Amino acid sequence: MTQQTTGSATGVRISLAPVAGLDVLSGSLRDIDGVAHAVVRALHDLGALDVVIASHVVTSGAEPHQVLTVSADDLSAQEVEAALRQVGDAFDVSAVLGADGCYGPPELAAGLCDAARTHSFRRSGRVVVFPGDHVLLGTVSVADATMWSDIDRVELVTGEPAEPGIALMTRDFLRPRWVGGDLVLHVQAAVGGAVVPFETPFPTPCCAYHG
Amino acid sequence: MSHGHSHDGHTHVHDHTHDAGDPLDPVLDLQVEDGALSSLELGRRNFLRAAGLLGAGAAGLSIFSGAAAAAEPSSSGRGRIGGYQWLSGDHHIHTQYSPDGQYRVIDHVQHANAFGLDWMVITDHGSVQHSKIGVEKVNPDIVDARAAVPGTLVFQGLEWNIPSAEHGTVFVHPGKNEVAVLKAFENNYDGVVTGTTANSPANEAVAISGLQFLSLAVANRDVKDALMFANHPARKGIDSPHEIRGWRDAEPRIAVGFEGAPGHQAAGIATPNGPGSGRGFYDNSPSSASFAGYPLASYRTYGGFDWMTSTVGGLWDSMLAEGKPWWITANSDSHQIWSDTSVRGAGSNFATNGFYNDPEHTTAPVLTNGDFWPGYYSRTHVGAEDFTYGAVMKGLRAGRVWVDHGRLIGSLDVRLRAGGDEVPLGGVLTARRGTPVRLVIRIVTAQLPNWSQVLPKLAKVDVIRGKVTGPVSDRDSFGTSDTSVVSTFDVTGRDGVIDLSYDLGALDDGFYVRLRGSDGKRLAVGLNGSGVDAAGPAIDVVGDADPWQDLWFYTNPMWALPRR
Repeated sequence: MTQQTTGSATGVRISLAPVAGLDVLSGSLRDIDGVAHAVVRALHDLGALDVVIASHVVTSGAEPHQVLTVSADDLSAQEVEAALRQVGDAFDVSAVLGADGCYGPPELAAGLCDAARTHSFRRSGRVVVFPGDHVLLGTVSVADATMWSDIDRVELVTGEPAEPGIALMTRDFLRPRWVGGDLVLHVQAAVGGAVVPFETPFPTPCCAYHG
Repeated sequence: MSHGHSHDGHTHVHDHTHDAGDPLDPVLDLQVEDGALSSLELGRRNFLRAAGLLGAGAAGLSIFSGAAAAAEPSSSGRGRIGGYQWLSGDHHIHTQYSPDGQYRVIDHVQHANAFGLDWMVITDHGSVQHSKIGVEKVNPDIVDARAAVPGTLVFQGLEWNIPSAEHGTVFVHPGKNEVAVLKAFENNYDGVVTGTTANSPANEAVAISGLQFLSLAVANRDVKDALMFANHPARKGIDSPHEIRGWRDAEPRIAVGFEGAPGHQAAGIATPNGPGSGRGFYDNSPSSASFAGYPLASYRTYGGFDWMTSTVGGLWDSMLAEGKPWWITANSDSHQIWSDTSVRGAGSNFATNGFYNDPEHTTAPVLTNGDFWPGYYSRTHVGAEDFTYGAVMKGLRAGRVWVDHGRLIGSLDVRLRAGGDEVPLGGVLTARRGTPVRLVIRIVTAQLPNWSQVLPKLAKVDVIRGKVTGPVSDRDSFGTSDTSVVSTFDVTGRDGVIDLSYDLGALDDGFYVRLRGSDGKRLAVGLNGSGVDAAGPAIDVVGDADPWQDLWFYTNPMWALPRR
């Protein structure tokens, strides 16, 4: 599959802000998104503007689950950590990775550290909150998505780049992923020749037995 | 013919009019380079090019017309083809004993029979209620339906919550212990009943123990036979490759395959006429229970088929290349029927009673349901020695199976021949190295309209060939580089008997072949590129997938192996 070349400078892109982490043993994407939104509210209360929050699957602890990694350019590491602790306190179990290490059950530390490194190098992760996401509501063009937000490129799940002029029906729900340093929004063909994001806000909860 | 090429000099053996379409169509305009086309457009161009309908040079297909052979009865007519009765069926059907079901057993059996099914399996979800109540209460309904509708064989089964994985069909041969065996199986090995759905090596072991229990039940003659198929395997990415291989290798006589095409085929019909979801309700994304190696592309269907099957050189092929059997099926997964005019019975209390009250009439058709009745759209055709429960199970285990959607074709007879010997679908042909091997195919096109009142028209047949490379070293591998589409027969406009023959060359270290056919309406370059699959099924459009406008058939494989 051919990779679309992007206009970004070559070289490894590293997040400049320190990356913090929060583990509340979330099992589902729905749950982790709820936690991410609680975190972003707490960070906004402290005056943050450019916030990036990503979810990652980790295998630390009893079974695989989702954790969050967080970077906020305009807050100190201590402020971010305080916000994460505040959100984490609402859960039975929580672990927070801050500037000086990990607080919480020690068996959860390794997963948080791995996830934070992944976030720093933008290697992988499902990005729940990113600069510009609040602008991409309703239907926009594929070109708009890269122009008005941190999304680097828009790509079909089958691998081809999406045409810049095509309508992107965002459904107000974007979960781009980091792929090799780039923030990539995966999309697929939708009704009327438009594209929709790969991830749907309300996937079929088939048979109610699996998260 | 308005587009810029001529058929002069081509040796087309069939007589038909090509609907070439718009002259400005970039697919037809050779000024537009391949690289400038979308995958969907390039798929269509590749098909036309291979058929000699685009640019210079016909592809030299060995297609020839069958000499006035009498059309044999369609598969549901129970005529013998290749020595077998081809019995159409469905192994994935839910009733009012499922928490997301609605209908009586007899509702499904009557419809299945009317729509031409010869066999079917009732597979309500394993659950606490079902293990206590449903598994027993459904049995007299099934026994009654067998008597009321003798033309359709009705198996009792279960939709197993496979520990640590997806769902699967488990069913047994009818007999005095069918309920006892299914009940014991559900109580001891169902993931929900035993709390073992979560991903873990320990729970994976429970799944294997469940298959061993079924095997033992057959060995002890508690039941005459038992089979397991994995259902909608790629839907949530939670059936990892090593788990599927694990089921197959632990109990190869019990765990014999997976759904090549999931049910819920109406789920992609656009709103307001349908649910507007993903075809097959395939609209999920990776979760923490998913196998991390699966790409995002695996969570969607392609021409209505599951990614594991629809990808040439994908997971299914990687299993076949091991030289071990693993079969595909196509089923309805009927829960609630698209455009039906009934709803669940009023006053139902599933949690307490273990079933919904009988359905009730409603005037407005329910267009948010995503399923078809058994036999209405998806069919699994089994070559059976006779019309019995045992013969259906034996045919399934042997892989004498092909599947289709929307009654795309009337009947299919495929043989692999070498050195005076031949095998049917699912067979293994052995011959001396160097022996010429030939694939012989007879298709009778659809002679009757399907249940959307349209006469389906087959456009092409693909021959897929893969090298047998032996057991994999990485049991989580889900691809093989030695499988590709090696030939495409353009059969556009052909009606009646179509005889095709394909020379597979001299027998080498061993290979397998399988077939796939399409109405040609939605084609795209396969996920492994043009060199592997130039015109395969296109990814289904979310919220806009009319299942009747994209029909495929798939066969199970046959192997040719050198004699030692």
